[in-house]
Amino acid sequence: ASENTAATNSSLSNEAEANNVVNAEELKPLLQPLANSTGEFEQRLYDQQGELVQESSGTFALKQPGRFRWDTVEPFPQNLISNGKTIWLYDPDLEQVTIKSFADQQDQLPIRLISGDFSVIESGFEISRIIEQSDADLSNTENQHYVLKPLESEQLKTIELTFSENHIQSMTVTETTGFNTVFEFQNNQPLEKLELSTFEFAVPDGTDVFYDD
Amino acid sequence: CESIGKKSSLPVYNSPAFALDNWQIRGKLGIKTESDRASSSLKWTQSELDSYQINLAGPLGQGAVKMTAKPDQFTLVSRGKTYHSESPRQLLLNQLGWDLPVDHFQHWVKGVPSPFQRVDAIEYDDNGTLLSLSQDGWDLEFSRYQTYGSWTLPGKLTAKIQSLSLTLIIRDWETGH
Repeated sequence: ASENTAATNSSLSNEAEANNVVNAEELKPLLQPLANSTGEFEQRLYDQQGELVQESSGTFALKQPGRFRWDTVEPFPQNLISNGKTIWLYDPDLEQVTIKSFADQQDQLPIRLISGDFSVIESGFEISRIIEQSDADLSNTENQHYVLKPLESEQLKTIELTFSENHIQSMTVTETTGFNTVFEFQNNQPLEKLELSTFEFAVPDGTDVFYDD
Repeated sequence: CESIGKKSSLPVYNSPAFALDNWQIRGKLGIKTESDRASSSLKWTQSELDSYQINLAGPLGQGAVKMTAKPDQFTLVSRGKTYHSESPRQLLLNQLGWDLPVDHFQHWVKGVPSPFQRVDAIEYDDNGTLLSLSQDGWDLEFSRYQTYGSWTLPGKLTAKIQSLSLTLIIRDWETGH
Protein backbone atom coordinates (compact mmCIF):
# COMPACT_ATOMS: atom_id res chain seq x y z
CA ALA A 1 0.00 0.00 0.00
CA SER A 2 1.30 3.49 0.49
CA GLU A 3 4.54 3.92 2.31
CA ASN A 4 4.91 7.33 3.88
CA THR A 5 6.48 9.67 1.27
CA ALA A 6 8.61 11.35 3.91
CA ALA A 7 10.16 7.99 4.75
CA THR A 8 10.90 7.32 1.07
CA ASN A 9 12.64 10.64 0.60
CA SER A 10 14.60 10.51 3.83
CA SER A 11 16.02 7.11 2.90
CA LEU A 12 17.86 8.78 -0.02
CA SER A 13 20.95 10.88 0.34
CA ASN A 14 20.57 14.33 -1.15
CA GLU A 15 22.83 13.88 -4.14
CA ALA A 16 21.02 10.67 -5.14
CA GLU A 17 17.75 12.57 -5.18
CA ALA A 18 19.27 15.55 -6.99
CA ASN A 19 20.62 13.62 -9.92
CA ASN A 20 17.46 11.79 -10.63
CA VAL A 21 15.33 14.89 -11.00
CA VAL A 22 13.74 14.20 -14.36
CA ASN A 23 11.81 16.38 -16.71
CA ALA A 24 8.22 15.83 -17.69
CA GLU A 25 9.31 14.32 -21.02
CA GLU A 26 10.37 11.14 -19.26
CA LEU A 27 7.02 10.82 -17.51
CA LYS A 28 4.72 11.68 -20.40
CA PRO A 29 5.17 8.45 -22.39
CA LEU A 30 4.41 6.48 -19.22
CA LEU A 31 1.22 8.42 -18.55
CA GLN A 32 0.17 8.63 -22.18
CA PRO A 33 -1.57 5.20 -22.42
CA LEU A 34 -3.70 6.00 -19.39
CA ALA A 35 -4.90 9.23 -20.95
CA ASN A 36 -7.08 7.30 -23.42
CA SER A 37 -8.18 4.23 -21.53
CA THR A 38 -10.76 2.50 -19.37
CA GLY A 39 -10.25 0.41 -16.26
CA GLU A 40 -11.10 -0.21 -12.65
CA PHE A 41 -9.84 1.64 -9.62
CA GLU A 42 -9.48 0.99 -5.96
CA GLN A 43 -9.20 4.07 -3.79
CA ARG A 44 -8.11 4.27 -0.17
CA LEU A 45 -7.93 7.40 1.99
CA TYR A 46 -5.53 7.44 4.97
CA ASP A 47 -5.38 10.09 7.68
CA GLN A 48 -2.15 11.53 9.06
CA GLN A 49 -1.74 8.62 11.48
CA GLY A 50 -1.94 6.27 8.51
CA GLU A 51 -5.36 5.00 9.55
CA LEU A 52 -7.59 3.90 6.69
CA VAL A 53 -10.66 6.12 6.86
CA GLN A 54 -12.33 5.49 3.53
CA GLU A 55 -12.20 2.80 0.87
CA SER A 56 -14.01 2.78 -2.45
CA SER A 57 -13.80 1.18 -5.86
CA GLY A 58 -15.35 1.56 -9.28
CA THR A 59 -14.64 2.07 -12.95
CA PHE A 60 -13.10 4.87 -14.96
CA ALA A 61 -12.88 6.01 -18.56
CA LEU A 62 -10.35 8.69 -19.56
CA LYS A 63 -10.23 10.44 -22.91
CA GLN A 64 -7.59 13.10 -23.58
CA PRO A 65 -7.98 16.01 -23.33
CA GLY A 66 -10.12 16.67 -20.30
CA ARG A 67 -12.82 14.05 -20.72
CA PHE A 68 -13.19 11.54 -17.93
CA ARG A 69 -15.63 9.40 -15.93
CA TRP A 70 -14.83 8.37 -12.39
CA ASP A 71 -17.71 6.14 -11.33
CA THR A 72 -17.55 4.98 -7.71
CA VAL A 73 -19.59 1.80 -7.23
CA GLU A 74 -18.57 0.54 -3.79
CA PRO A 75 -19.42 1.12 -1.01
CA PHE A 76 -21.96 3.61 -2.40
CA PRO A 77 -22.47 5.05 -5.89
CA GLN A 78 -21.16 8.47 -6.93
CA ASN A 79 -20.29 9.75 -10.43
CA LEU A 80 -17.71 12.31 -11.43
CA ILE A 81 -17.98 13.13 -15.16
CA SER A 82 -16.23 15.67 -17.35
CA ASN A 83 -16.68 16.52 -21.03
CA GLY A 84 -13.73 18.88 -20.94
CA LYS A 85 -15.92 21.94 -20.40
CA THR A 86 -18.23 20.94 -17.56
CA ILE A 87 -17.71 18.64 -14.58
CA TRP A 88 -20.70 16.94 -12.97
CA LEU A 89 -20.54 15.43 -9.49
CA TYR A 90 -23.71 13.36 -9.16
CA ASP A 91 -24.68 11.66 -5.94
CA PRO A 92 -27.67 9.36 -6.38
CA ASP A 93 -28.05 8.84 -2.61
CA LEU A 94 -28.38 12.54 -2.01
CA GLU A 95 -30.22 13.06 -5.34
CA GLN A 96 -27.91 16.01 -5.87
CA VAL A 97 -25.64 17.09 -8.73
CA THR A 98 -23.00 19.80 -8.48
CA ILE A 99 -21.95 21.32 -11.81
CA LYS A 100 -18.58 23.02 -12.07
CA SER A 101 -16.58 24.44 -14.95
CA PHE A 102 -13.69 22.24 -16.01
CA ALA A 103 -11.39 25.21 -16.49
CA ASP A 104 -10.91 26.16 -12.86
CA GLN A 105 -10.69 22.71 -11.33
CA GLN A 106 -7.63 22.76 -9.14
CA ASP A 107 -8.88 20.18 -6.69
CA GLN A 108 -9.42 17.69 -9.53
CA LEU A 109 -5.76 18.01 -10.43
CA PRO A 110 -4.97 14.31 -10.12
CA ILE A 111 -7.73 13.54 -12.62
CA ARG A 112 -6.59 16.23 -15.05
CA LEU A 113 -3.13 14.75 -14.88
CA ILE A 114 -4.27 11.30 -15.88
CA SER A 115 -6.70 12.58 -18.49
CA GLY A 116 -3.71 13.66 -20.51
CA ASP A 117 -3.53 17.30 -19.48
CA PHE A 118 0.26 17.22 -19.13
CA SER A 119 0.51 21.00 -19.37
CA VAL A 120 -0.04 20.77 -15.63
CA ILE A 121 3.10 18.78 -14.95
CA GLU A 122 5.34 20.54 -17.50
CA SER A 123 5.70 23.64 -15.38
CA GLY A 124 3.88 23.05 -12.14
CA PHE A 125 6.00 20.28 -10.62
CA GLU A 126 9.49 19.17 -9.75
CA ILE A 127 9.60 15.54 -10.81
CA SER A 128 12.09 13.06 -9.43
CA ARG A 129 12.51 9.39 -9.96
CA ILE A 130 12.94 7.41 -6.76
CA ILE A 131 15.48 4.66 -7.08
CA GLU A 132 15.47 1.99 -4.43
CA GLN A 133 19.15 1.31 -3.60
CA SER A 134 18.81 -2.27 -4.88
CA ASP A 135 17.89 -1.52 -8.50
CA ALA A 136 20.01 1.54 -9.24
CA ASP A 137 19.88 0.60 -12.95
CA LEU A 138 17.66 3.30 -14.48
CA SER A 139 16.67 1.18 -17.47
CA ASN A 140 14.98 -1.31 -15.17
CA THR A 141 11.30 -1.00 -16.02
CA GLU A 142 10.20 -3.65 -13.56
CA ASN A 143 9.07 -0.92 -11.22
CA GLN A 144 9.33 2.77 -11.87
CA HIS A 145 8.51 5.19 -9.08
CA TYR A 146 8.16 8.98 -9.51
CA VAL A 147 7.43 11.73 -7.02
CA LEU A 148 5.96 15.04 -8.24
CA LYS A 149 6.26 18.01 -5.89
CA PRO A 150 4.09 21.00 -6.82
CA LEU A 151 6.11 24.21 -7.09
CA GLU A 152 3.34 26.07 -5.26
CA SER A 153 0.13 24.63 -3.88
CA GLU A 154 -1.21 24.99 -0.38
CA GLN A 155 -3.34 21.90 -0.55
CA LEU A 156 -1.23 19.42 -2.49
CA LYS A 157 2.03 18.12 -0.99
CA THR A 158 3.06 15.41 -3.47
CA ILE A 159 1.74 13.12 -6.21
CA GLU A 160 3.47 9.75 -6.44
CA LEU A 161 3.16 7.60 -9.53
CA THR A 162 4.27 4.00 -9.83
CA PHE A 163 4.55 2.01 -13.04
CA SER A 164 5.54 -1.52 -13.87
CA GLU A 165 6.77 -2.38 -17.35
CA ASN A 166 5.68 1.14 -18.33
CA HIS A 167 2.14 0.41 -17.18
CA ILE A 168 0.64 2.65 -14.48
CA GLN A 169 -0.01 0.84 -11.18
CA SER A 170 -0.84 3.52 -8.66
CA MET A 171 -1.11 7.22 -7.91
CA THR A 172 -0.81 8.49 -4.34
CA VAL A 173 -1.95 12.05 -3.69
CA THR A 174 -0.68 13.45 -0.38
CA GLU A 175 -2.32 16.63 0.89
CA THR A 176 -0.69 19.17 3.16
CA THR A 177 -3.17 17.97 5.81
CA GLY A 178 -1.27 14.70 5.86
CA PHE A 179 -4.26 12.86 4.43
CA ASN A 180 -3.32 10.76 1.47
CA THR A 181 -5.38 8.97 -1.13
CA VAL A 182 -4.03 5.92 -2.92
CA PHE A 183 -5.53 5.14 -6.32
CA GLU A 184 -4.75 1.71 -7.75
CA PHE A 185 -5.47 1.09 -11.41
CA GLN A 186 -6.46 -2.35 -12.66
CA ASN A 187 -7.52 -3.91 -15.94
CA ASN A 188 -6.40 -0.79 -17.78
CA GLN A 189 -7.33 -1.12 -21.47
CA PRO A 190 -6.92 1.29 -24.38
CA LEU A 191 -10.08 3.29 -25.02
CA GLU A 192 -11.88 1.55 -27.92
CA LYS A 193 -14.75 3.37 -29.61
CA LEU A 194 -16.58 5.02 -26.69
CA GLU A 195 -19.07 7.63 -27.94
CA LEU A 196 -18.52 11.13 -26.67
CA SER A 197 -21.90 10.90 -24.98
CA THR A 198 -20.17 8.67 -22.44
CA PHE A 199 -18.64 11.86 -21.06
CA GLU A 200 -21.90 13.79 -20.90
CA PHE A 201 -24.36 13.63 -18.02
CA ALA A 202 -28.16 13.89 -18.27
CA VAL A 203 -29.51 15.08 -14.95
CA PRO A 204 -32.28 12.72 -13.76
CA ASP A 205 -35.63 14.34 -12.93
CA GLY A 206 -36.06 15.38 -9.35
CA THR A 207 -32.32 15.87 -8.84
CA ASP A 208 -31.30 19.00 -6.94
CA VAL A 209 -28.98 20.87 -9.33
CA PHE A 210 -26.33 23.23 -8.05
CA TYR A 211 -24.05 25.36 -10.26
CA ASP A 212 -20.81 25.90 -8.39
CA ASP A 213 -19.00 28.64 -10.31
CA CYS B 1 -45.01 7.74 26.68
CA GLU B 2 -42.72 8.21 29.62
CA SER B 3 -40.82 11.49 29.81
CA ILE B 4 -37.10 11.18 29.22
CA GLY B 5 -35.45 14.62 28.98
CA LYS B 6 -35.39 16.74 32.14
CA LYS B 7 -36.47 19.86 30.24
CA SER B 8 -38.66 17.99 27.75
CA SER B 9 -41.92 19.79 27.50
CA LEU B 10 -43.40 17.00 25.34
CA PRO B 11 -43.53 13.33 26.36
CA VAL B 12 -40.84 11.29 24.65
CA TYR B 13 -41.15 7.58 23.88
CA ASN B 14 -38.41 5.60 25.62
CA SER B 15 -37.04 4.07 22.43
CA PRO B 16 -34.50 1.21 22.85
CA ALA B 17 -32.05 3.16 20.67
CA PHE B 18 -31.43 5.52 23.62
CA ALA B 19 -29.32 2.75 25.12
CA LEU B 20 -27.27 2.24 21.95
CA ASP B 21 -24.04 4.20 22.36
CA ASN B 22 -21.53 1.98 20.55
CA TRP B 23 -22.13 2.08 16.80
CA GLN B 24 -20.77 3.01 13.38
CA ILE B 25 -22.51 4.46 10.36
CA ARG B 26 -21.28 4.92 6.79
CA GLY B 27 -23.03 6.91 4.11
CA LYS B 28 -23.29 10.38 2.60
CA LEU B 29 -23.70 13.86 4.00
CA GLY B 30 -25.21 16.63 1.88
CA ILE B 31 -25.06 20.23 3.12
CA LYS B 32 -27.08 22.98 1.43
CA THR B 33 -27.42 26.69 1.99
CA GLU B 34 -28.76 29.24 -0.52
CA SER B 35 -25.27 29.88 -1.86
CA ASP B 36 -23.39 26.66 -1.18
CA ARG B 37 -23.56 22.90 -1.60
CA ALA B 38 -21.29 20.24 -0.27
CA SER B 39 -21.61 16.49 -0.57
CA SER B 40 -19.22 14.06 0.96
CA SER B 41 -18.88 10.51 2.05
CA LEU B 42 -19.25 10.10 5.81
CA LYS B 43 -18.03 7.58 8.35
CA TRP B 44 -19.02 8.08 12.02
CA THR B 45 -17.72 5.73 14.69
CA GLN B 46 -19.17 6.18 18.21
CA SER B 47 -17.71 4.29 21.18
CA GLU B 48 -19.73 5.91 23.99
CA LEU B 49 -21.59 9.16 24.78
CA ASP B 50 -19.53 12.13 23.54
CA SER B 51 -16.75 9.87 22.21
CA TYR B 52 -16.75 9.59 18.45
CA GLN B 53 -14.75 10.02 15.26
CA ILE B 54 -16.31 11.53 12.11
CA ASN B 55 -14.59 11.39 8.72
CA LEU B 56 -15.74 13.37 5.68
CA ALA B 57 -14.13 13.25 2.23
CA GLY B 58 -14.81 14.33 -1.32
CA PRO B 59 -15.06 11.94 -4.31
CA LEU B 60 -11.30 11.85 -4.90
CA GLY B 61 -10.51 11.92 -1.20
CA GLN B 62 -9.59 15.57 -1.44
CA GLY B 63 -10.50 18.10 1.24
CA ALA B 64 -10.86 15.38 3.86
CA VAL B 65 -12.07 16.45 7.32
CA LYS B 66 -11.71 14.49 10.55
CA MET B 67 -13.40 15.23 13.87
CA THR B 68 -12.45 13.31 16.99
CA ALA B 69 -14.24 13.77 20.31
CA LYS B 70 -13.72 12.57 23.86
CA PRO B 71 -15.84 14.01 26.71
CA ASP B 72 -14.84 17.76 26.90
CA GLN B 73 -12.11 17.43 24.27
CA PHE B 74 -12.76 17.91 20.57
CA THR B 75 -10.26 17.91 17.69
CA LEU B 76 -10.89 18.98 14.10
CA VAL B 77 -8.46 18.37 11.21
CA SER B 78 -9.29 20.30 8.08
CA ARG B 79 -7.37 22.00 5.25
CA GLY B 80 -3.94 21.38 6.63
CA LYS B 81 -4.60 22.39 10.20
CA THR B 82 -5.55 20.76 13.48
CA TYR B 83 -7.78 22.55 15.98
CA HIS B 84 -8.65 21.65 19.58
CA SER B 85 -11.61 22.96 21.51
CA GLU B 86 -13.97 22.10 24.32
CA SER B 87 -16.96 23.21 22.30
CA PRO B 88 -17.33 21.35 18.99
CA ARG B 89 -20.13 23.62 17.81
CA GLN B 90 -18.15 26.82 18.14
CA LEU B 91 -15.11 25.30 16.45
CA LEU B 92 -17.12 23.92 13.52
CA LEU B 93 -18.86 27.27 13.07
CA ASN B 94 -15.52 29.09 13.01
CA GLN B 95 -13.70 26.64 10.76
CA LEU B 96 -16.32 25.15 8.47
CA GLY B 97 -18.83 27.99 8.63
CA TRP B 98 -21.76 25.79 9.72
CA ASP B 99 -23.38 25.55 13.13
CA LEU B 100 -23.49 21.75 13.46
CA PRO B 101 -24.72 20.58 16.90
CA VAL B 102 -22.72 17.36 16.85
CA ASP B 103 -23.66 16.73 20.50
CA HIS B 104 -27.32 16.49 19.40
CA PHE B 105 -26.60 14.64 16.17
CA GLN B 106 -25.00 11.75 18.08
CA HIS B 107 -28.57 11.04 19.31
CA TRP B 108 -30.59 12.26 16.31
CA VAL B 109 -28.82 9.87 13.89
CA LYS B 110 -30.29 6.97 15.91
CA GLY B 111 -33.81 8.33 15.49
CA VAL B 112 -34.14 9.56 19.07
CA PRO B 113 -34.38 13.08 20.54
CA SER B 114 -31.33 14.57 22.25
CA PRO B 115 -32.10 13.58 25.86
CA PHE B 116 -30.97 16.78 27.58
CA GLN B 117 -32.69 19.22 25.25
CA ARG B 118 -36.26 20.54 25.32
CA VAL B 119 -38.49 18.88 22.71
CA ASP B 120 -40.57 21.50 20.88
CA ALA B 121 -42.39 19.19 18.47
CA ILE B 122 -42.42 15.45 17.99
CA GLU B 123 -44.29 12.89 15.90
CA TYR B 124 -44.12 9.10 16.02
CA ASP B 125 -45.69 6.49 13.79
CA ASP B 126 -47.89 3.83 15.35
CA ASN B 127 -45.07 1.49 16.36
CA GLY B 128 -43.12 4.22 18.16
CA THR B 129 -40.66 5.10 15.42
CA LEU B 130 -39.71 8.78 15.30
CA LEU B 131 -40.98 10.52 12.14
CA SER B 132 -40.27 14.17 12.87
CA LEU B 133 -38.78 16.25 15.67
CA SER B 134 -38.01 19.88 16.53
CA GLN B 135 -35.24 20.63 19.03
CA ASP B 136 -32.86 23.52 19.61
CA GLY B 137 -34.19 25.33 16.54
CA TRP B 138 -33.68 22.34 14.24
CA ASP B 139 -36.52 20.62 12.36
CA LEU B 140 -35.74 16.99 11.60
CA GLU B 141 -37.37 14.22 9.60
CA PHE B 142 -36.52 10.54 9.80
CA SER B 143 -37.19 7.78 7.24
CA ARG B 144 -35.97 4.54 5.62
CA TYR B 145 -35.90 2.72 8.96
CA GLN B 146 -34.33 -0.74 8.92
CA THR B 147 -33.90 -3.37 11.58
CA TYR B 148 -30.41 -4.36 12.71
CA GLY B 149 -30.69 -7.14 15.25
CA SER B 150 -32.78 -5.72 18.10
CA TRP B 151 -32.44 -2.11 16.86
CA THR B 152 -34.65 -0.24 14.40
CA LEU B 153 -32.55 2.61 13.00
CA PRO B 154 -33.11 5.28 10.33
CA GLY B 155 -31.51 5.22 6.88
CA LYS B 156 -32.30 8.84 6.04
CA LEU B 157 -32.32 12.00 8.16
CA THR B 158 -32.95 15.57 7.04
CA ALA B 159 -32.23 18.43 9.42
CA LYS B 160 -33.03 22.09 8.71
CA ILE B 161 -32.38 25.35 10.52
CA GLN B 162 -33.08 28.69 8.77
CA SER B 163 -31.42 28.37 5.35
CA LEU B 164 -29.10 25.50 6.30
CA SER B 165 -30.28 22.02 5.32
CA LEU B 166 -28.47 18.75 5.96
CA THR B 167 -29.27 15.40 4.40
CA LEU B 168 -27.69 12.33 5.94
CA ILE B 169 -28.02 9.06 4.06
CA ILE B 170 -27.02 6.12 6.23
CA ARG B 171 -26.27 3.12 4.04
CA ASP B 172 -24.64 0.96 6.65
CA TRP B 173 -25.27 0.62 10.39
CA GLU B 174 -23.01 -1.41 12.66
CA THR B 175 -24.10 -1.75 16.27
CA GLY B 176 -21.97 -2.86 19.22
CA HIS B 177 -18.97 -1.96 17.07
